[in-house]
Amino acid sequence: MTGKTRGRIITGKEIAEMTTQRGIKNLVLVFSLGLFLALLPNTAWATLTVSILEVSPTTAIITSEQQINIIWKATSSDSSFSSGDYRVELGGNGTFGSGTLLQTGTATVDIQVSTTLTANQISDVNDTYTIFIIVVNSTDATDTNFTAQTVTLYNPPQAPTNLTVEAGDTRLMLSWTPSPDSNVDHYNIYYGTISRTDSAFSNYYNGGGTKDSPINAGNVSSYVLSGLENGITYYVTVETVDTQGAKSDYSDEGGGTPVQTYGLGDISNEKGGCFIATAAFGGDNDPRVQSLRSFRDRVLLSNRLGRFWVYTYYQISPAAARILARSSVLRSLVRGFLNPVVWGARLVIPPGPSGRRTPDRE
Amino acid sequence: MEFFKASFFRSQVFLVLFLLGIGILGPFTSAKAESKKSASYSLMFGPFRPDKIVARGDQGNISWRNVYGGGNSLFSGAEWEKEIIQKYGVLAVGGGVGFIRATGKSLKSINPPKTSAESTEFQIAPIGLNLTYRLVYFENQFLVPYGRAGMDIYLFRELKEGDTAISGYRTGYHYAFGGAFLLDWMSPGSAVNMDLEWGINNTYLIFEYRYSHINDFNKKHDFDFSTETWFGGIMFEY
Repeated sequence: MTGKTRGRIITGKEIAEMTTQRGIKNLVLVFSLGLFLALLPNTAWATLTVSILEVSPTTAIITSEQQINIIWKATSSDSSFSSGDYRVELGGNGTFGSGTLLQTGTATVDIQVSTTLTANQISDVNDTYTIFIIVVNSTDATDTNFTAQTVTLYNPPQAPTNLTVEAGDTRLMLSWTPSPDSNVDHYNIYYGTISRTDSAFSNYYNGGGTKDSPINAGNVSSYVLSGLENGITYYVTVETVDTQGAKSDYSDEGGGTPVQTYGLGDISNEKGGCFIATAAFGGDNDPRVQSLRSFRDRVLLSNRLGRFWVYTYYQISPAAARILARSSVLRSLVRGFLNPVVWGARLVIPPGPSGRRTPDRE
Repeated sequence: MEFFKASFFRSQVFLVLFLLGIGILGPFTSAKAESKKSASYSLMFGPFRPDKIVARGDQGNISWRNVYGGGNSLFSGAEWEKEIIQKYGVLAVGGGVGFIRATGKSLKSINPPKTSAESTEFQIAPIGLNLTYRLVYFENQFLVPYGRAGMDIYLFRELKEGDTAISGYRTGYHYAFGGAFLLDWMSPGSAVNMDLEWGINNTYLIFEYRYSHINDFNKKHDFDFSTETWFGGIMFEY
């Protein structure tokens, strides 16, 4: 009390005033803190993170069914978060619903999600687009995050036009107006014996191949399709492939029927014909002679030993044929010998698309 | 036979004219010192159309014109000759190679002939050995008549859309008469320089009539390359 006697006595009123000032200070402090926290960026509160792990490809062809696969994952520092809704949006700003919805679903934290888009689902305009993947915490709608990925769409090359198909001897001569695209790599040729306008059409078989094994003609505007069978109608189409591997639509379909044609050598006595058989059977058009001719072209000339045999035959056969031409008895004997040869030849000649084993002649 | 007679007559006329030419033009030439001459090479060009080729088949005949048209193809040739005798004119032996290419369309029908869209090509590569006699009696003679004869082998092949359809060869012979016009007088300085720098003594402009009898010595082949033709070219004597 002595101390108190030295000072003055604080009155109750003074105590009340002091208390009020401290309270106000405290209130201001609390309010300021609250305001600071309220003004902090939203992400400071977020526990959710969305990240892309893999994208393939980042460029795709418009109008195609080409797929763009995006693998991404949501993670969270909040152990209470386990799943949330996600949206894949085209454009916008990354907030839920700001872009065009492409896909939606539920994401589980720490589990990879594979999102597949198709090029024609994104746009039909040649440009670069931003795809947003936005995830919202299912237990706290304010806990949201997004990631973005750009993809580029480009137009496929244009198909060649004005395809013309002209018939030759076991071949078709094709020509077309090239695609106007500047980045043409090559043209693919497809052919088969059934028109694609036919209900029975399944694919162009390319002489035994499949639709997926076209003939790469190079960057040209004409091509000779050879090794065909005379008398069979073939249908042909061409497509453009650009330097990125994008393929155009098929061109209009063309068709043609290879036929026997005649250069000077084809009918002259200069060409190695089946001299003996022709003399024995009476003419070049005899089906047996044609069978032997097919045997020569398709079997013998396909290997070295066969070619040697053909060469040897042509050295001796003209003289033998001249002798045969003078003797009907000899011709009968040779026919008797050749008939089994013809039958055997017909068995080993590989058939063409028609199943026939002899070439057609006009 | 008429063809042969006509060509023989033409060749005789040609020969007489050049024999006259040597007498008229030879004395006007001037002499100059030159290095020794021993050989010559020449490049020659002329029209070629083997009209005797007719392919005969069961379904009818096709002539050269049916497939390759009535126009001429270019016969390009190069020849080299070694001068073995240089007294009383020049006697030279040598050889030459040539090339002829004709393009056309194969036929889709023989009788009547109808052209298809399929391209054909006929290639001929004549190879020959020559014996040549040049009537050279003056140094730097302005006009040098010559006669030539030799043996030939003609390699040939026909292609359809680039694929060889037929190939073979034919043998025969040829004879020719021609004239070589000396060009040195047009620029004597250049002529001297060519001699000094390249060893080329004389440069000639040559014209030649040639009859070729290429049918394996009269065998009945469809491909008979016999023809008569004219050549023009240039010859360097060194």
